[in-house]
Amino acid sequence: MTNEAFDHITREKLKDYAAAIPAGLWEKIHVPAINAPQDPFDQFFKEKLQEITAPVSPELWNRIRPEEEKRRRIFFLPRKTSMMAASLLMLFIAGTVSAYIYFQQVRRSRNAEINATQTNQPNNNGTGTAGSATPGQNNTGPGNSSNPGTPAGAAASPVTTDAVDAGSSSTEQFSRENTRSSSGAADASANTVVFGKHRIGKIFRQQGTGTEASSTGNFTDSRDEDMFYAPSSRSNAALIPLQRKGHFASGERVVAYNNHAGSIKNIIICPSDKNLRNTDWDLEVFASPDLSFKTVSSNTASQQFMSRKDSSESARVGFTAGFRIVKPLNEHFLIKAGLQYAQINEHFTYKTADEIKTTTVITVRNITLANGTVVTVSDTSVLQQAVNKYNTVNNRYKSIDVPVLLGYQFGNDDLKIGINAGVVVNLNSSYKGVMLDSTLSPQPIDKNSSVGYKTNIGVGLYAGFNISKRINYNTSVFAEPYLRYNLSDITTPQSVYKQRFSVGGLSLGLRFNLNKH
Amino acid sequence: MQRISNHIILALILFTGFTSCKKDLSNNATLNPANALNDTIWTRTLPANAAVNALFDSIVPKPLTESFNNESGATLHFNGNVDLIFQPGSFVTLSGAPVTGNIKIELIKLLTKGEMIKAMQATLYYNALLESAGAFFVKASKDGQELELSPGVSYLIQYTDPDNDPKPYMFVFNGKAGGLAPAGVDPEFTWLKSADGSSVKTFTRSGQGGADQAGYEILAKKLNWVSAARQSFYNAGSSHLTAILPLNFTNKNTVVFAVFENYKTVVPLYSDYNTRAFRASYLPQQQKMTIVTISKIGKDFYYDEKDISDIGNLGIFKLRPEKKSIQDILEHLTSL
Repeated sequence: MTNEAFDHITREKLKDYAAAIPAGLWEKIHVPAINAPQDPFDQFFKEKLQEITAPVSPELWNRIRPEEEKRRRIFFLPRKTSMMAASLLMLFIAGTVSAYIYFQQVRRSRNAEINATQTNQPNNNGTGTAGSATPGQNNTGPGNSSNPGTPAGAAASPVTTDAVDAGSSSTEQFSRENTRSSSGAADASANTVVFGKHRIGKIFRQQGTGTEASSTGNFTDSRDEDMFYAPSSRSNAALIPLQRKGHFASGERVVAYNNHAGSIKNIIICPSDKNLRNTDWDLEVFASPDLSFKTVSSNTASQQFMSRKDSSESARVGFTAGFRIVKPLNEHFLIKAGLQYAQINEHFTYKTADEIKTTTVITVRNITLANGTVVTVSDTSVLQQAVNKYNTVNNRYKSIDVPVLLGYQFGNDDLKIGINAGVVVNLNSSYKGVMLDSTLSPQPIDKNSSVGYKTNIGVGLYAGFNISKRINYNTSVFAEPYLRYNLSDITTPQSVYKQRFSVGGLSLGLRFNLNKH
Repeated sequence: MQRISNHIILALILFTGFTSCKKDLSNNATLNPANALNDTIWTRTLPANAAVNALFDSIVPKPLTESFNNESGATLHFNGNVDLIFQPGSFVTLSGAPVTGNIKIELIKLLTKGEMIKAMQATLYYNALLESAGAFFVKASKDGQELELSPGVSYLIQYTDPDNDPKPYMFVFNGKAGGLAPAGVDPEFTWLKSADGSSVKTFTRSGQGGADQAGYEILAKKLNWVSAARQSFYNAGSSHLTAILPLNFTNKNTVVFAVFENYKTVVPLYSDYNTRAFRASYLPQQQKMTIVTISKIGKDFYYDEKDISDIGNLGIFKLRPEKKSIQDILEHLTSL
């Protein structure tokens, strides 16, 4: 669902909806007096509307959320669809910019008009009667900038029109339909603002000079006291008081209305979903290809042994896999803890000379018997061959660890970058494979080996760089290159040599937001 | 939450599959050309360094040695109830010069079929089978110099047969090779009846404990190989005997013999280069015999034996030697 569609639906559903306005709401969005030449448009949103929040029912959010999710998936849309979306986005931006420029020009035109009026008629109190006004009489704006009408005319004459800038590049027809109505004590003129053929609302002018408004109210220069009321888009009965300073009021009321309505809409359409998602707990599931870096030094081993060991062993890609529970401490800091299985792989190559290899062969012989007969005899036997065998064994150094990490991250909901650092506490280590014994002969790694391996290698240090991309509402994918430095050897002090591993890897995984629902 | 559970289950499955992929061992084997096991090539002419020569050295019976004064003569007693009786002045040098002082006598006695195999001595008169009553290799030397019998002088070999009572019609045979020492399987070797056609006498004497001992008495007129034997006569037909062994066993490292059960007859199966097999020609049918194969490959010895009741018309048998210690092989041969 697009924003426009949502607007349409919302407007159709809520146009006749009436609700009581909470006390103090209008004060919150009360427009302060804006001193020229400050930009009243920007000042209005900056000072009053930027922190406005309106309560919205949860049901409404539930109806909006699918649209949000769909909008996020635009990253994965097909190319054609993405181009369409991009085109629409560009149109939207162009429209917004155009509208902004347009209203800026309107404002400047109005300022110029008012300044001119003030110069010619500095105190022109309208004396026209309200009854002389002709409701429903329209006067289209273009070309009328030279005769914008005096305040008296504007109030008394129904044909008086707030002309939009004749020089505006906007092609839309802008007109005002002046009506006059009485609403209780208020003497208000209802101006219907029309963009093209669309009637989008009314502006009511209330003369605030007296507590009792007269239907024949004088339209004097009351720019300090004029109050403009815009009907709420959700309630025809509700009026939004728009306080303007003098001559700015007539021009700004239109701008204020449109931008005010637009800002309210934007606040509704672009809600932050942070409060909906459970930011308290995340679950990370990851796996990583690892490369190990080994440091070996001799305790009592001979140089020949160390050299032979070095030439016999070569590092291979290992892996780490596990999960981590993530607890965000605040917007940037988080703590992680979990359980992981890591396996360092090595190739151990050794030569065994004259190993017997057996092959079944069939030999066929033609043998002449004593009587001269030749018989063919086939014999299935085993051929033994002595071979020099180069054996390669995959040595595995396995460990089960608990990572405890502190992370710092920044970015937005879709893309986050961060670093993680902490400790990796080893729970258990085990080993499998072949190693050299003191006679340089290969032997299986076991408890009886001359080289002892620890079953717990203690604590290691961990540091990683994390980048995550949100792929749907609850799930993010992340990549984390990392380095793990073990603080202790995997060999026991009694071993003939010391050996320690450090591991570098690239964790790839998914982070699930543990929603409450 | 269901979606998260599915993700976790999938991750666990992938992790299990990943960690269960194991390939512990790999190897790249290359033949070791220096290892004798890989030499499966047969040869038409046996080289001097052939393994069978080393095999012979490993199993040939060690000579028994005694000495006596050539001027006085002596009766020399050897283990196994073998006596050699020399007259005074029995030996001269190879050039015919008289010899004084002590003479060293070396004796290799082949009284059993196993001993004959150990010495790789067949009982053949060319291609004809002989039934042996025992064979001896006698060598005389003084100070390392080989001696020969004085012209016209003979010596007596008295012995008892550990397997059989003395049989009649035994004749004296001498080895064709004459003064050559035992040298393994020699296709050229054959026994030849003594030129005078002298027969072997039998005797009976009192042995230890008062029991009578019956034996043979050979009047030998030559040194080196001397045998008491007779030609065997078989009524049945004959066949070639062929022994087929695995490719590792070639004529360079293997010897094969056929041993008759009821006769002290040992027949070598010579290598047949064309068929890569070991063969003996015209062996009698309907005879129980045992085919024995001994091999030496590298430092290892291999042995197999196959009992056959009748070689039949085909006469083709397959043997599968197995690695055995030299001691085990010698014990097997002794029991034949």
